[in-house]
Amino acid sequence: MSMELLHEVGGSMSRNKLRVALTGFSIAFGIFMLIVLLAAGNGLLNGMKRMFGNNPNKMQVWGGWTSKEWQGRAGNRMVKLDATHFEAVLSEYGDVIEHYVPMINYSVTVSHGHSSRTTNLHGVTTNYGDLDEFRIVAGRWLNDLDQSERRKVAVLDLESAEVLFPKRTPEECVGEWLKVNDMAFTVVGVYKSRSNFSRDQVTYCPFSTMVGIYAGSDRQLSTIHLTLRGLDTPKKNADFTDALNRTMARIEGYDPTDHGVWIWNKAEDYLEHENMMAGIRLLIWAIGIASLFAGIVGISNIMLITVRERTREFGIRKAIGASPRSIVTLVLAESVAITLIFGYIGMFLGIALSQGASALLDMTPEGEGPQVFVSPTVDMGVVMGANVIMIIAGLIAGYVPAIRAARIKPVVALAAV
Amino acid sequence: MIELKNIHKTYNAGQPLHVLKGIDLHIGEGELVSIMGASGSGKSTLLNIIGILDSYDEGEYRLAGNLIRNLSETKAAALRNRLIGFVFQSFNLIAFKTALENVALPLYYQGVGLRERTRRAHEYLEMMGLDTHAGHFPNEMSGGQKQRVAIARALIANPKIILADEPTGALDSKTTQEVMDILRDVNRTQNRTIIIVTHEADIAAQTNRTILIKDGVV
Repeated sequence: MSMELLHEVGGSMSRNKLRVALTGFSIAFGIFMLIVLLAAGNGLLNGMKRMFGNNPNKMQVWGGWTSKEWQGRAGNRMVKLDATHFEAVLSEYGDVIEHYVPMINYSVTVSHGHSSRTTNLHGVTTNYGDLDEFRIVAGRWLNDLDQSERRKVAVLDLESAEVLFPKRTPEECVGEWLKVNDMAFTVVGVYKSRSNFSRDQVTYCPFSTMVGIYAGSDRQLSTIHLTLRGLDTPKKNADFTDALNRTMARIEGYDPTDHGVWIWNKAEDYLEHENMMAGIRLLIWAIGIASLFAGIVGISNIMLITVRERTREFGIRKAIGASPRSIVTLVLAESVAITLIFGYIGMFLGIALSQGASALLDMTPEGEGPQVFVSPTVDMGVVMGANVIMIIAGLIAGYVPAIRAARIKPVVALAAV
Repeated sequence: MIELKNIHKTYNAGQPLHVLKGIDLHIGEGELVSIMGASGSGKSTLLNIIGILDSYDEGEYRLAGNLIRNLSETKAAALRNRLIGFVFQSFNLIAFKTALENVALPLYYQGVGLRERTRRAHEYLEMMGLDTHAGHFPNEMSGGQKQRVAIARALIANPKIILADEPTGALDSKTTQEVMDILRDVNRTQNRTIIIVTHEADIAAQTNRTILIKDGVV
């Protein structure tokens, strides 16, 4: 039975090639737009994810200033982040805090031979490497032995390496000596930051080494880095930020309603972005569906004309014994066929374009050009969804013409011309 | 076979037109009947009602014992397919289908498979002497050939009745006679009821009974 139907539909379409092609174009275009827009949306989303690093649930805490009096102490005091205080309360947040990285930074002058520059020296614990803020280009990251032995070792950023060791590859810098202020360090690795944000040059060294150089600096941390887990809603994040502030108030001695420390929750930024992305996604779907709808209307139009043209033929079929259902099937089959054929053309072109753009973007070396779009493609799920949409669209387009065709009265249709 | 009691039909085209004003009719199985009347007498309307192509307002119509009243279009189509074969004045073949495909079409709506349909279509074309034209399209055939294809199509589903509305109206006298011969032959050898609507007396004379219609009554 369905071979017959295909035969009938094929015949009908080939008798009106130009007309079918022109209307099919609008469906093809609608699907094409939908795919390309969705791919672009994905590209934006991926770019945003890349920007935030693989785990967006990161937090940084800085010492700040109190504004209120508290327990006999005047307002406008500087709050120092004391590592020993914080580590004491760490266990309270064991289920939320995944990584705790204390950081001390000072501005230093690094030099090698004749080249020198001012940079920031950050003393961090080894687990800073787990935060995925950078990738190692040459050599290695700091290790536990460096920490325990308080070694004077440094991981240099790529840009500084190029300035301090001109005409040398990053690999050649590893093992070289580096003068940090008036101390001798050894370069053990070169890194490149993942984030688009940090353009400042940072040299990393072990936390313990830093404390050794600057005595008491662990009682006045520059930053506390945290990665968190399980905070997947804006409310949970806000609650945790609040709780953390009150804890800091308790251990560093200021009014809990005051903000003595600055807390930056990257996750809140990310969630905000996610909301925006969701909004953009919705908009894209709206535009896509709208252009698809235009295509549906076009096909419906053509089918109406076709049905009217074939009035006599439908009348003959009915007189011979065609049930209304078979007439409806005939019309619907044709409209679905047109939608599928041209829908696939549009989909194929859309996927080709997005894959091509993706390949082109992949070819630009990292660091050059904006990483706004990353891998702008659509996944299989979208393709499958588009298929279903197209079939439904075809049915919708053909519905009214099909009903019209079924309602044709054989008497009227066969009236001798 | 066909029983009509007090059939009334009114068309509403601007002004209501009372076309059939109480038709009583009885046609038995195997009869060769003509319905004759002037234009506008209502004969085509009557044929349409008999052929379940149109509905009537008052009265009763029974076809082979089935009461034909308020039938759903699906049921009506099925009955037409099984019991009635149509032959039209303007042939009404589907222009983009070959003679073979046209003849086979009623069987398609009976759900018969392709191979069987093709076989039977050839058989009936052969009966009409037109098997050589099986692959031709209607526009490649003469009027007489087209009408013979139409008759083959009307016969293929093995209906009890053939309804012919001015079947020879568009044909010359020679082919007219050919077609009438075929119809008479079918009636005699296959015992099918044949009803021919016409306004020509010499056509009516070739049938066994003539029903005259004037102003909507017999």
